[in-house]
Amino acid sequence: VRIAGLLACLAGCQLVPPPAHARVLRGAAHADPPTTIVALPIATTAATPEQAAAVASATRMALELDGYTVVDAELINAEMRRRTTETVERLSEAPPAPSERPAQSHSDTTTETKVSGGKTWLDAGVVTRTRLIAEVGAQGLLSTAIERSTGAMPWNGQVTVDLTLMRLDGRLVWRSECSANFGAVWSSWWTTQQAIEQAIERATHCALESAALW
Amino acid sequence: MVTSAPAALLVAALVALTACVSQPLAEPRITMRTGRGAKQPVSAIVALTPTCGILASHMRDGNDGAVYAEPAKCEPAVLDGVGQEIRGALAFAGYQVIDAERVNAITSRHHEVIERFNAYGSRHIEQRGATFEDATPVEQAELLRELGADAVLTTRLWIGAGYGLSGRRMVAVQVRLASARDRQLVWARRCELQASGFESDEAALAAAARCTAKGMPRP
Repeated sequence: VRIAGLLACLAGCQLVPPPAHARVLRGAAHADPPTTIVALPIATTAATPEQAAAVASATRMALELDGYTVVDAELINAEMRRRTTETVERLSEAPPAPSERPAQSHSDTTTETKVSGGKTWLDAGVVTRTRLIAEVGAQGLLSTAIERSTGAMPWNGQVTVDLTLMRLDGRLVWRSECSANFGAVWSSWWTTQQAIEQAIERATHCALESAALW
Repeated sequence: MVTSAPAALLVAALVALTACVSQPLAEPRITMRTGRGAKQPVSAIVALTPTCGILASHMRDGNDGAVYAEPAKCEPAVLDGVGQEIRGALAFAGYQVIDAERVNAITSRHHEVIERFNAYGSRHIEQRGATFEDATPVEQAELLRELGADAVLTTRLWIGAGYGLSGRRMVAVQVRLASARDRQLVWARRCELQASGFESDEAALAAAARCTAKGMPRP
């Protein structure tokens, strides 16, 4: 009976999570939003790098589709980088001389690219960052933060995604914060992880929708 | 015939489970918008390397018999594939597409060594340089002018969280064309679709890329 009951519960599949809670603040520059913005790296200690990259991707896509020009801070180079590409081709027969007909040979090729030197936005100081912002023609900065609090049990808690858009002069355009609860069906690494990811997705969409973007 | 209560419950659960798994996937949703840059003529485009984010973890069996979540990675080969699909569609639509990875910011140094040992041999090629994406914003602007590029193409990929036992998730590919002169939006196009849990991330992204590429605006 217990197994059947569990299967019946699982078969529900569409376990409806509680609604996310949003808080939106419109700032002094709400009527004068920037058109080009630099999206700063995600600030978080609660999410994995992969989860942070996913939130960054979803946020930037929504803003771009809404008409903003979004420049990823982590892709801005403060100094030119250098890259070295090494290709090694091993042949089971010696390569023919240029004048000879190509022989039938079996080759095994590996290619590896290494990027070195240079400085990105992340390495740059305040003065350099200010220069870079001017060079990309940005008028605003987007900050994103992900926070997570754990509930009574390790497999339930709350995820909060906080988006803040400011003009370069420090005036707030808008701030949208949204929290979504997560609770796994049962305690396991897999279900807890899936529940957290679902909560991150809901909180991100909710924060974007609340800022009338998504 | 099933008569006992547990057996009936089990059958009901299995029927419900089957119905849940076989629920049809949501129809792809395409969103398109044009911006202020749409008034400018666009012919030559520099296409940047796609960027991506994946929220859905993969299931992995641990040595202790438990199931663990393994973060999914954006594999360079997948990004390459999506980039190729989008660039191909744009070229077919009539744009002159320049791959940013193939634009040298400085003259590169090429060093090639061929070694022969009887029937065996090897070729070692080392190329040192810097491409468009290694350059600073000022240098990139200069390169765009030299190339005679009218616009820059960015491509973003996204895979959402997995839902249900099968791990269904939303997948989106978005391309955005911005004026090379003032970065204003020319047009942006996004395709969002639902991927089944039995579909790999690579296959789902490829499907979303094809959906985005289909019906690209002409120059």
